Amino acid sequence: MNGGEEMRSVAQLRAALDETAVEAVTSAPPWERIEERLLRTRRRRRLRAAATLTTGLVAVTVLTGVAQVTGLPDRLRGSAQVADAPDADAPEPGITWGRLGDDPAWVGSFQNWLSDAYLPTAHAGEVPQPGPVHVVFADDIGGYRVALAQVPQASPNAQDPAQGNLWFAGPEGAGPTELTGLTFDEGREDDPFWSTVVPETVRDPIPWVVVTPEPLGGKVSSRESVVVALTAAARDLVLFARPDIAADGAVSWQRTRLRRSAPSVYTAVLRDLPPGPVTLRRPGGEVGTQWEDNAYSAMKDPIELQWGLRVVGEDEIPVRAFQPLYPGDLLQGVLPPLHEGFTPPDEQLRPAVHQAQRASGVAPQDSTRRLLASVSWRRTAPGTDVIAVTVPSGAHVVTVVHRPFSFVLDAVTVLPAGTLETAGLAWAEERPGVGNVVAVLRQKGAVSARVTVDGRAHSVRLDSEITVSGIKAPGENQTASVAFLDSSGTTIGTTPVLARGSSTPQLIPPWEGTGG
Amino acid sequence: MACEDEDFREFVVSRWVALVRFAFLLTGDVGHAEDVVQTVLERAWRQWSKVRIERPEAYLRTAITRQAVSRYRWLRRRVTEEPLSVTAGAAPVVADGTGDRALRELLWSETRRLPARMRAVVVLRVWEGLSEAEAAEMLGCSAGSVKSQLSRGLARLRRSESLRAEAAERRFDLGTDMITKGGEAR
Repeated sequence: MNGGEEMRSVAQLRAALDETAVEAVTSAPPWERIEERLLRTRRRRRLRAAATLTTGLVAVTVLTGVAQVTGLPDRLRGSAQVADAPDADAPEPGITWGRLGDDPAWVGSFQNWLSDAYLPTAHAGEVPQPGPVHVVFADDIGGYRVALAQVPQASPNAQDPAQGNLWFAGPEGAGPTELTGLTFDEGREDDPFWSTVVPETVRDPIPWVVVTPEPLGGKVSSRESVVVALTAAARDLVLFARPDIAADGAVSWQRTRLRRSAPSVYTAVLRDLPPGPVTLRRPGGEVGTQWEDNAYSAMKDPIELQWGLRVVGEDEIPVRAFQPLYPGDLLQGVLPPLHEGFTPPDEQLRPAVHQAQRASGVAPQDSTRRLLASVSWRRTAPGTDVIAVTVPSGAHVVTVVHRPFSFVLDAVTVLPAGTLETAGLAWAEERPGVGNVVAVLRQKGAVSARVTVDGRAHSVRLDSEITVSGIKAPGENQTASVAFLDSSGTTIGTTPVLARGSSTPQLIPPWEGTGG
Repeated sequence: MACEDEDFREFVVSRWVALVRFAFLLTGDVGHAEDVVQTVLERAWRQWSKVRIERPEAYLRTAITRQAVSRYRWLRRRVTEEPLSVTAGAAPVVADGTGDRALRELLWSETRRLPARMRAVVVLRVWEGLSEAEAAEMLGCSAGSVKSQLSRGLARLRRSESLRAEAAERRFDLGTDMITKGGEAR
């Protein structure tokens, strides 16, 4: 290709990007909306500052209270006291937590390896060099050696520092250079919304990790996985895993209470942990949910989706011995589309099915997969695939997968066994140039729908099996539902509008009933 | 402070669309782009007195770039959206696969499939027209890394079977190298 042709090709790519950007983003949102969120952020920061001060005062008070009841069994102490009491034995900030903290040679060697070898290659461009590396935690747990390091991150300017958390694991007793990097969590210490970066006292938010054998590629023979959470406040932490979905759609979870294995270190060992969501909860809230693979890579290229949290494909980093989350082609055995409409090409459908499979928490061989509906605006615009994974009980986990693959913006719900062919669904669909609108999959027998968003009702004719309305989908803190009406105007069924990132309540592990 | 807020408001109103378009090319999603821009603006707002006297646009674009390629941006929630009045139902459409639009959509589709950092390099070098050094500064990496990422990104586009098919039909030459000699995109 001569120089002129080269220039033409680049020019075409540039024009494609330019025209796509102009078409996709046409107008500014109201300043009021931006300002409202800015003010909300300011309020949150001020509240947090006030809460930090209050927590310090309360800590002094509660410490006295804990000392008074130390001799009592847990069940006789108030749960609020247990949940809120700071750990009187919490290590001082700046030292390494866990038993390897007593081995300064190992910690020093690990720090040197991180600074000199690991970070410059695995996180080139993300971590400035040189920079202080702090080993927050290192210990042997359940056949693994687990460590957490905190590193500075590259930042637009010195006024806006950022830090990153890196979890590592290897076989028990592994040398400092034999650990495998698992996760990279970044953010700002003063921004709880963004970050799980370790504050000085590791009080809140709580950094935690699930270590499974697969990312270590045969380095460990264990079939066990370990969970590690660090918190200076004595927390009652319960892990929810292995969702079991009954035929009627009810979901039960295997619950494991984390044990305090060292001051401020909470751990649990799980055997044969399958792929799927793992949620850590504490009284009054969720610490977080992990999916045991990389959410980020799922959007990028699901074929490269790996166990663990480093991605081979992204930066072509020579990570070690990762295994595919779902070996084989998930499209094999996918049942034909249930409803009329657009059928996406395989390369589009495959990652969507992957997302749905993962959301179900069930292995491919124990389930069947079926495309219910698909919306495609244009090749470049967002679209949606609605996919049902039928679990062993016969119930259906239905995932609304948004393109490009959004992971946490996918919506999930559960339908009872035997209802797949007749059920109606509604979800938030991103319509180019408009925003999120309500899309409806028609319930069998319905001719119209009444869509209610935040108390305002709208009528929609359902002329086809899939209807994308012009009704704005519910936003944050809004609710919406769809009532399906037959030809006589009688309501024959209702369904909530699945907002982006929403999960049907039964798929959210409850704190109640944990016995704690 | 009120003066600063007014100055910030003027900046946001005047630059919002451009910043979101930039973020859109980096993230591939309008909602995510708005979220990234909003988040970066929140940070800038907290230190606007410092940012405004430097180069606010450059600061924000750098922050947007790094935010967009960071792994956990997806954990952000979406901006609250106000309900609109009802309009007629709109049927989705599918690309017809012909004409310049089809090629453009195909190019964007394939670009969006690139890993975030690689896509960012392509956007910064090809769309923004930055030099290797400028793109490297924005991404916080070396110029060599930018060069190799661009090379690999364009190579991936060249390997795209869809683009190859389209190129064969439309004499859009992807056969050798899309970058001009010397590693410059422009």
